[in-house]
Amino acid sequence: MIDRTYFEDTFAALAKSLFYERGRGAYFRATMVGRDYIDRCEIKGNTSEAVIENCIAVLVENNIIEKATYQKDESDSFFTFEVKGCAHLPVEAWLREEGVPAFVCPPINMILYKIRQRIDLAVEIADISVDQKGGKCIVRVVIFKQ
Amino acid sequence: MNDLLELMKTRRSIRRYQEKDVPDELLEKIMEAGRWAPSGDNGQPWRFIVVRDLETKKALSRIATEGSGRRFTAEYFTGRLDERFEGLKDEEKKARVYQKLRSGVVSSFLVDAPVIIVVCAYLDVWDVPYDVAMATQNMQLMAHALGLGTCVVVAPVCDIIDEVETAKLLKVPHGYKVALPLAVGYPDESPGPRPRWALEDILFHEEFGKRRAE
Repeated sequence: MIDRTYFEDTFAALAKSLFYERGRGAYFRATMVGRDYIDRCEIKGNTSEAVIENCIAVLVENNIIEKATYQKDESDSFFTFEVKGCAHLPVEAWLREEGVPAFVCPPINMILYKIRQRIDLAVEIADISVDQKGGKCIVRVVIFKQ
Repeated sequence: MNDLLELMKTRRSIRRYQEKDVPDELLEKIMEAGRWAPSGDNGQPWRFIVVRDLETKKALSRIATEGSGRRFTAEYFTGRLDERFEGLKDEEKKARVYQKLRSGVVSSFLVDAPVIIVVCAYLDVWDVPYDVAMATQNMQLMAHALGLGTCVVVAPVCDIIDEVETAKLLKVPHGYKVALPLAVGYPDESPGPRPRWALEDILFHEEFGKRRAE
């Protein structure tokens, strides 16, 4: 078994490099991170909700996250995800120590990619908040209507 | 030298253009200015695609519009737009501005530009972003000197997802990237200068944050 911290350190160092190259715009350069992985999984669903639930199930089953829930606001477009026990949390802790804000969320990238691919809806991550003590992230997302 | 500074100070980002074609010889002067930009290791990574075809411009405009719309809508929901427009007290005007930003039409003008010079970059060089930025600035200044207006429109390439779509549209091969679409045309507007930080606010001596000793 390869030491997991090797991959965490590598990911974190690359993320830091990207941030120092592009600043806040680094987020827009990282929106495809995670795609290849989720493309190897079978994701079904013909509605946003169905795709979200199926993606979460795959991510939990493969130990990438422990749990994820979400809520919509009254606009029906603005979603707030709570992602617990994500494999990337240690990376975010390292980045925070280095003064780099959270700008990439692979699990949510994967979910949004599948929504775009399967239902052809425009999607956008609005912001990412990391709660290391709580072992969770809050990721706010826009899923546009047709 | 003063003429050069004046040229720099009077350049504007132009988003409305006259329905008047831009002659090839002027475009060539603009790209010649880009060609003479400095580049790391003299890598000269810039490549230029001159786009005049309406269907291609429509496609670029669509990618740009969707990208801008997504980003501004996200900013709307998070309250970031409110922070940006804190000083705008007229609620009706604010609502109109928000609607325009959220729809993405702020970037739709690409379709109306007579020409779009898409600055691409060869990636096997050391300093891609800096090189293409210097070339693009040269091009904007040359265009301005020739009485033309320009605007760098990052919307079709800001998000890597959109950049991939733009690269596909323009048949940009692996090993190159689409860096900056530059709209070019005769100006049909005369916007005023945007605010600039005062030099004393951004100038340090010997180390960051250190002002000149009194």
